[in-house]
Amino acid sequence: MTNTTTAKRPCRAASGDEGMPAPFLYQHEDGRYGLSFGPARFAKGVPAWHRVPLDIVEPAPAESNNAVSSLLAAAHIVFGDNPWNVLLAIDAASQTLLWLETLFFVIRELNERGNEKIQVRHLADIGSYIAERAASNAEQSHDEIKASIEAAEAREES
Amino acid sequence: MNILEEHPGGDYARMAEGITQIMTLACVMRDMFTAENLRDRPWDLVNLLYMIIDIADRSTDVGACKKSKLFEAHSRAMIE
Repeated sequence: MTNTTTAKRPCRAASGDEGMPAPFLYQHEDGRYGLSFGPARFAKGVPAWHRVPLDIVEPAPAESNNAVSSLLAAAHIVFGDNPWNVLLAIDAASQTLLWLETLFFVIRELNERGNEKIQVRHLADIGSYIAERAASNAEQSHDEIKASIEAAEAREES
Repeated sequence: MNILEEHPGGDYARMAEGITQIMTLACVMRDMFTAENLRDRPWDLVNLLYMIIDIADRSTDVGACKKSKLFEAHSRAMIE
């Protein structure tokens, strides 16, 4: 592999201090990256993976964008999706909880006024529908991300 | 069978339910504008508005789907 970046200083995390295992970065011949905490074990006769030096953490200014895109590519591999899309799933769940907070507040206010039973019932229906849909979406996102992380782990171990 | 007939949980029922929910949310918004103790929570109005949009979007989808079904059923009836 040809590395065009310039070594400046060792990566702090790579030194293995603070009780964290040192990370090892590997690259496949097809361009994929793999991150391992501790030396990775590869199956015999599979030389496609090779270690990439991780102690180069400060690329030349002109190459900064490449370094960022590599990190994002690694995150994309682990999460199975663009990290911004992963964030969207969390944002949607947060938004739904804010909606439910509003609904519960309004239900409480209407209940204090009395004679608003029908409206309270409709608002409860709305809350039920919104919560059900959000739970379904969150569960789907969770399952997809979990499967992707497990696949990344399995790839590390193989 | 009349193509407008359907079971109680069908598309018309869902559309009516959506419109009722939108009506409820709109009434709540109106009350929040006028009630003294609710004016301090402007974000609730925004959230209610988003919920109206969300439910209207769902009802519109159901309506569009029902329209397609009706066109299809009508065409079939004309051919027969």
